[in-house]
Amino acid sequence: MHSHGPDLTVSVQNGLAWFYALVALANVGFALYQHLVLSRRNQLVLWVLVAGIFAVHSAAYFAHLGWVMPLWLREMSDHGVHRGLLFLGVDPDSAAVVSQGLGLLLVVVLLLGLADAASHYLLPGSGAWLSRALARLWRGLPAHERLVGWGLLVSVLALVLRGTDAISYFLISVAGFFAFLVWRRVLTLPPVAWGLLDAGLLFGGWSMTDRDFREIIIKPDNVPIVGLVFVVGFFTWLALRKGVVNDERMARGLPPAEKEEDEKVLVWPDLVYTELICMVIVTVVLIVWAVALPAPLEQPASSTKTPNPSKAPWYFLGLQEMLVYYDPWIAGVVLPTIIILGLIAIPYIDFNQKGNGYYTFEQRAFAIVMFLFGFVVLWVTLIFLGTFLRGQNWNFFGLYETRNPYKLVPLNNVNLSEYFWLKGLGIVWDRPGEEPSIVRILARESPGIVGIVLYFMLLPPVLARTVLRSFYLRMGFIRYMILSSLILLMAALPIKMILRWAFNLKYIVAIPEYFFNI
Amino acid sequence: MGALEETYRDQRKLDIVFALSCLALVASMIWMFAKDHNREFKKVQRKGFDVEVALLEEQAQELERKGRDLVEQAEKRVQEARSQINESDLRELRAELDRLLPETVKKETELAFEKAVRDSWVSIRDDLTGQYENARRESVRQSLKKDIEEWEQRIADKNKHLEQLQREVEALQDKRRQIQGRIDELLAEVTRAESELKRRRAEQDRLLRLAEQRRMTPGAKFRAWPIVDAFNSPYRVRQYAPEGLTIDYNFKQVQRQDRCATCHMFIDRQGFEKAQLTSIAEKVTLQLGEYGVYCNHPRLDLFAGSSSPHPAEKFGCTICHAGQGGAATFNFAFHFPDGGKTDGKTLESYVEKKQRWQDTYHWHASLHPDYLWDMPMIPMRFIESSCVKCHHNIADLVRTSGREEAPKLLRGYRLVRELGCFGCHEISGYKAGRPIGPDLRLEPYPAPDELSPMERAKLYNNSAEPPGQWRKVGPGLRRIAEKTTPQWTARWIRSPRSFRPDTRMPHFFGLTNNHPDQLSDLQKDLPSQVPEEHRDLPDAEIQAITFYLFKSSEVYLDKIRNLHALSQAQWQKYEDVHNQLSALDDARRAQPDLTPREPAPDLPAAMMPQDIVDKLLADPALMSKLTKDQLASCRAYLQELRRMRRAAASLAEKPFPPPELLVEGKPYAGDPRAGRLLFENRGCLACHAHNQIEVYNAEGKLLTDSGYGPDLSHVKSKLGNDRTDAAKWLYYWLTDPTSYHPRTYMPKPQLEPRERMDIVAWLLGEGSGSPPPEWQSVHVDSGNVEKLARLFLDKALTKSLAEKAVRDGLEPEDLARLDSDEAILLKSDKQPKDAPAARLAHAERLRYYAGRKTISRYGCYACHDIPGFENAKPIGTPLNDWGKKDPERLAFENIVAYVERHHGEHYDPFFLDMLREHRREGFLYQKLREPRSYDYEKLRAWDDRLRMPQFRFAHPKKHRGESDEEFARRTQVEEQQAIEAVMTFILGLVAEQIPEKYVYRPSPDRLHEIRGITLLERYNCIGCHITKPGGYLLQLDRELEGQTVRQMLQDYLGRKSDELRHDHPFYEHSAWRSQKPVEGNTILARGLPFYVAQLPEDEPKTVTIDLYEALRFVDDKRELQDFPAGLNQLPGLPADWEQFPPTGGRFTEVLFRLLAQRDNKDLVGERKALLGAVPPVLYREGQKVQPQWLYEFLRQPQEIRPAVARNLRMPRFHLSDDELAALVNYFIAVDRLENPALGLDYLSAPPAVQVAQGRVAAQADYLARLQQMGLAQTTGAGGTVESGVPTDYFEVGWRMLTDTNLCLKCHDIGTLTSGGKPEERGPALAMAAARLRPDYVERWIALPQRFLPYTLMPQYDPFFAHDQAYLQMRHVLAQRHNRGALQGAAVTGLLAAPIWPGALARSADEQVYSYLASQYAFLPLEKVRAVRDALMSWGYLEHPPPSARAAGVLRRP
Repeated sequence: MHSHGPDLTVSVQNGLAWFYALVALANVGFALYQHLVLSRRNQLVLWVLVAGIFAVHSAAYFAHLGWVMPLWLREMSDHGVHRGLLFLGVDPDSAAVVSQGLGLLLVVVLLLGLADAASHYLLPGSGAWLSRALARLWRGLPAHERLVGWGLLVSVLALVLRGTDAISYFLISVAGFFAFLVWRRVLTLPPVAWGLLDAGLLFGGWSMTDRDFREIIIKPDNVPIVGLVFVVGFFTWLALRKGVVNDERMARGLPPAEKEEDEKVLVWPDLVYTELICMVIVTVVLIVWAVALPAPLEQPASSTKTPNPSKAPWYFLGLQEMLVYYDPWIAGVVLPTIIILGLIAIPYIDFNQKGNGYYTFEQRAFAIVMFLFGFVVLWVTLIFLGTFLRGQNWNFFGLYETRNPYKLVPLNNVNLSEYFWLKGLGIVWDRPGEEPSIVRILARESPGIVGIVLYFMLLPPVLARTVLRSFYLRMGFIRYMILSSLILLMAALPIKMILRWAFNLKYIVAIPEYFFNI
Repeated sequence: MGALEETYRDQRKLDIVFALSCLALVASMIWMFAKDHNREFKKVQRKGFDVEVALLEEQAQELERKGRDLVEQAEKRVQEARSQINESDLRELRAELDRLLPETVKKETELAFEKAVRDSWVSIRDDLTGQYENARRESVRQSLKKDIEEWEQRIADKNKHLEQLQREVEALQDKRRQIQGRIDELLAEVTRAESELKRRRAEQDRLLRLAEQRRMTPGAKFRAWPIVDAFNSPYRVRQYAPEGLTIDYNFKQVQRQDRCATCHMFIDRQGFEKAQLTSIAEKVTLQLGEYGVYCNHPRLDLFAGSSSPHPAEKFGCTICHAGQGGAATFNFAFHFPDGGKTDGKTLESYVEKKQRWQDTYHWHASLHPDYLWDMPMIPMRFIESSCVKCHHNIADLVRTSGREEAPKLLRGYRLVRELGCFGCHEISGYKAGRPIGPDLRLEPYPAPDELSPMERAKLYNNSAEPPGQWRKVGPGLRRIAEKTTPQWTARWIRSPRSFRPDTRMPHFFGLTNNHPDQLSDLQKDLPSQVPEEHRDLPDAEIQAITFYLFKSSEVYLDKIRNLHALSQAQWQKYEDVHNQLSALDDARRAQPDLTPREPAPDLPAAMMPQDIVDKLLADPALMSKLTKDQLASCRAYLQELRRMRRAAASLAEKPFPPPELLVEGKPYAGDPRAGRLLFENRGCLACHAHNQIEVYNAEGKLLTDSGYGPDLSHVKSKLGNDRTDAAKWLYYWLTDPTSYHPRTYMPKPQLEPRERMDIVAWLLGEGSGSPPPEWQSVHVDSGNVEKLARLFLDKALTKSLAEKAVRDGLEPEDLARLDSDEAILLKSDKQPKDAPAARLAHAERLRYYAGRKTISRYGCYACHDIPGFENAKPIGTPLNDWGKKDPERLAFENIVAYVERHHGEHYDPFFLDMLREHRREGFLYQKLREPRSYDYEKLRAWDDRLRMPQFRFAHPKKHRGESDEEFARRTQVEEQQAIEAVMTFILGLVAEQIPEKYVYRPSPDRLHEIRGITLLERYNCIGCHITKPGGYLLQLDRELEGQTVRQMLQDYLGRKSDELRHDHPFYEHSAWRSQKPVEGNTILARGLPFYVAQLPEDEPKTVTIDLYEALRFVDDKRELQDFPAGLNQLPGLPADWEQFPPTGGRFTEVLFRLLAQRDNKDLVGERKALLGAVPPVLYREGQKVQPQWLYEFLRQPQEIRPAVARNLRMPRFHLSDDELAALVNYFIAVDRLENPALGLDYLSAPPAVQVAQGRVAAQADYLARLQQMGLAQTTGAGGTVESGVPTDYFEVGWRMLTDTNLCLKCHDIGTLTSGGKPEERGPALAMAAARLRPDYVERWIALPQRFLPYTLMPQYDPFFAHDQAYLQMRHVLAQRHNRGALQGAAVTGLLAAPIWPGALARSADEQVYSYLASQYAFLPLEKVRAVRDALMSWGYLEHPPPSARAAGVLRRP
């Protein structure tokens, strides 16, 4: 049903007030920590100021001032700058001008980024002037950082321009991911990370003043995923932070920090006691969770009446998102199997001896990037997407958008064969009312089949010659082929997503006659 | 070992962390336990225990309070009784008793001892006897014998002694007993008083003991502690798991588990009424919402109670109430607020209740968007809908007593039936061959009645899904061209209610989605709902429909005229072909190989059946080439022809004025005044209304508003302005309506030709008012029919073909199927031969086509019989399981916006919430209210717009003296109620597969009754006849005018004891003895209220009733008393005691009042005579009449009661044989159910005296009795008549029958006429033998008022029942020597009684004797039987008795 309650209720205001009070307290604590333990005075001032901001919020909500997130901001977040400006009161013409300007800017930035990447990677000699010029624009950043920078710019522009949709969401998560890796030294600094956390909490707090957002977030089913965002963020940050510290140490010729504490610890009390404490705490958490968010009493499932949207358990929502782009047999059977097999295969593929028993990034950059891309970007963020941003009929809804079951989004997707034969060459293979023969089908789908074959047969040798040359040399043929196949399979998802968004490509190979679509 | 000392982490820190985490664990555990302790249901139960104890104590105290006086009285009585005893007597008696005791004991002991001695002697003797038998030697034998004799002597002596002793003992014992008896007598009063006292105290003690038991034991109190109560709490979940009652989750049946009784603890307990709870409200501080929790079910006699038909253990709760049974919290149970009485006193509206729930329970209509339960609790206002799940017949919710247990549902069901919802919306009672609900399907075409018995049998053989039974509710339009004009029809279609405000026909036009101006004042800023280019389409639709109706009607009339004109020989050819085809069909069924699979080349598949038949007529050999389909279609075509020919003694051929109206060559013009009188009297008003005749009842309610048939006030304008045509049509319609429209419900009114003409004259003359003023403003323009046709053509054909069709017609090859509607637009030369469009011009064909499509679109054929739509499918959504339709599949569209804009504040908040929450109730309500409003602000093509018409469900009429505002308000309220009633029915259609054992399976009698009820309603028999008396609750303890009802009844019975002495109590009959057990203080009186002129303005409303059934109650002395029916009226009961009104009989009251007014009679004082002149009450009809007679009577009614026949005559209904039988069975079934002891049977065996043996036996029995009394010495026919007593049994009865002071006074007997005034005359007795059941006749003659309190027939003296005196006199008479004594004064007073002629011609002594003998030869009841037997043997006696011969009446009727 529709939610048509108010954005703010008394209990929400009270809750937010307490929330902000707690965050303010935490910031005070952080400030004190910076001051007393690390003796950083300027940090003290900064975080006390931040705490003050939260305290003001807290007071405002305690006073029931009824602050809500401005509507134009919510509209902008959901539908892009044009709508946001309209809601801000800008006249439609100017708003159109702004959004068109931004669109133009986006194209320019995209072209510049592509040119930069091309001149640097593909034409290192002849295009060097261009990349030099662009590097000056980026104040001398190295090429790969510039690339991330371009990506970040494009995705932020896309976000502003279009609002939150599947494309901008995916772009921003990829770009953010790489930004975090590339600028890890700065971004993993505790004050920076704390600041990011603060920003996230502030964003969450303001967003809670929107009823639609709140309805989704506080749903007991979704609470673990909210937790997951913070937990995954924290541990990723922790690993990167430790890796960064260790890398710095190793650059200075010191052993990793873990090696310095390389002493034996006692089973009792060091292990067992802490385990006991953990046990108790986990029990407390589970009890509190169970009591505070009791399981709802629902009716037995009916085979004719499915909930809309029908969502998988939260941990499968990443898989479910794949179903948007792939046929069930791939997204539901082949890819999960390969993911599991690939995870099993990691120890046998991994030839890098470094990084055992201590955190590092640089010594295992490839492994970490690959794993985190697969896990964080292609799994966790898709879970987040599936949980919070997918609504009725599996349509994409902005963070603050009302879940309207009657929302219709055209899905005019086209198969590759149609692009090739019909639009390109004006040839139709299928005759209406006639069952096509297998030969005819194969002929029809030949472009896709060729493409797939090339993707999996041609790319590994090419990569072995170029980017992964060192891998090929050190791994041997079989291990290399397994690795490259796994990587290509993983890449197949974002590739298909981009093809879908960019070209409305439905299937690369479409043989509905035999339920075989790729 | 330094490593041991040093740990990785600081131990102290770890200890602190551990301590903190443990504290957190303890805290979380405490939280958990606290939450468990405070679970909703535990809180409820905690209080519930208090409530129970408080209530029991309160009841005990109440009992004490009330009973204190009684106990005191009892105590006082004990003391009084004690004080009154003569103590010295008692002492003396007791002393005497004591004195006698030793002697008695002594003697008793002695007796016992002596008996023992005797017994031992006997054994010795027996032993000796044995020895004697075995002894061989004579000497021994001798000596033994002597011994034996000696012993025997001794034993005999001893026995004598014993006897003496025995006597002495008995004497003593007797003495003691006598003394004891006297003591008991002295103490009797004391004993009685003491037992009364004990009884009073026992009840109180029981309640107190129960309260003590319910109080928690210390152990339970401990277990109820927090934390402990998590384990074996006294508070526990109570659940019902009704076996087999499941929830259907599609392929999965989930067992219901209803935990409702966890909180509703006392739902099935007596004594927990809300009213009771108010008495302890202070003590346990009951909040408003808690009354509903702790009270019991308000209908414990019907639901939840263990002795009710629906005990909670067997049925659970959710099967009726829905909601989530498994939940033990308020919100998850999915309660739904609906207004009502919350504590027995306070009325809460929906809004208030919702608010309270939100405050108390944080309730929200949709709780949480994701936690849905498909079946939230049914709001109380629709709760009756659940009955449909098991009571598929609906009519079975009317009890045999006439009480309607689900009035709202029944009303909804009747509305659906009357308005014909089932014409468009399928309401099938079957799913996969299993009955699932009420079956309201249309009957097939042709109707089963019109089929041959063979065909009908075939149709009904399909037991899984027998054919539908309901006729279309609207008039047939097959012959509309004869009846009215296109102009009138078009205006009628545009706005039926403008012409006849209470018509059932809904509005199709002028609604929000097809009237440009409908919403214009509301949405000035929005575009009109009807765009500019569509503005002339509604008119085009109306014109097209009208054109189609008249054209097809004319074609049909022509066709039947032609068929009528066919010569017999020509017709015979058709018949021959038909017979041959039937034979061929049978042959092919036996040998399927004979059927060709492909159509023959000269009989192409596209060929129309009429063409094929033409070919077959020319060449019968072709027959074998027919495919299966062609054969079937040809047969159907020929059968249709046959039906048409039968129907077609065409009206157009009939002369007017008809020859029977010619008086001396001049036609009779009709007398309007007589016509009006006939209209009033003849029962027209039972079905039709007329605005010139208005009769109001005592409350000022209009009675002449049946709503069954149309209001005939403006019938003249409808029948057209041509007076002759109109009169002709109306005249022949009144002659026999079915010849015009075979499926009409209108019966044949059985009017004489002149009477018909009188009515015609009145209806078309003085009686025709001008239609309401709004009718004048109804206009229909020509519209743009071409554009309309294009709309349809564009959908059916390609654009270019559509253009061609509009321009100049189609070629056959343009059409995919030749039987499609577009075939109408074939070019003239390409039209099939018989096609209706063949003789139309192209422009007309276009109109014809548009009309046909429009009729299909609106489904006009759902209610009307329209040519060309005989087998069209219903157009609406099937309603078979609408009650559980997923709300997501309902198109709510912009309805909330519409309602908010259009109705705003005036909309019922309940339904507004229902709409907002997207619940089916909201959808349905608005759909019924404004069906087209769902198109609001939708962009839709013209022919995709919603089509459901706008009904008006209630047609209230203005009460006498009601102001316009009041009437307007009442109209709204009634409309709302009617809509809710219809909703209740539709919401009940859930098509759930309830296990067989739960589905209501009526007994055969009840099934007959239910079928009968349906028929009585369908044919409006209840319009004229009262079939069941009403019900009135009497509370025996309630005070009326200073005395309790019980006291009043008792006093009244006492006063009437003399009258009751005249009664023959037929104990097995409900008129004398109630068949129902008495429970508590409330009893139900059944009777008819008095019709009074007008109710007093200020005085409290009361109703006085004639009792139709004995009333049983418990009197002060706790003895059962029966208040027999017809004794007299029950005086002024408060009107709010009425439980249910009498069934039917609206016209009875109308005519009653009309007659009273006309003849200036007193409604109450002369009500007997008035009631005797109106349609009779059909109560006890089954025990009264013989089934065979009733069957024949219903088939062809004749006159029975002269008093009634002066005014009206029963019309002849168009009933099928099945229906006739069903009605007969109904009357028998009702009486079998009400009077199980009577042993009524369904078969109609002739009465015993109509059989020769029976007559002989009766005669023999009679003679034997006379002999026994010494009144007749010889036997045999014509034996001696010494005493003046006839020896012919039947003579006895005949004499009384022909006595001018008895039967003949009011009844005609054969050729003997009574000569009384018609209004006082009873039915002719000649028909009694065939008509009445003998046992009824006996009871009736014995005391008629018991059966019909209003009857004019009295109880005659000879039939009085002073049995005791009779028996004594018989005794005296039998002793002949006492003859002289008879002349004593004691008997002469009896001479006043009637006497028959033969008894007079004797000497005085002899005369007295013979008179007395003749009088006392029979008990009064035997006289009754003699009369009965004489009556029942009418026409069956070979040798009529002399009196009958003399009267010359004994002729077979």
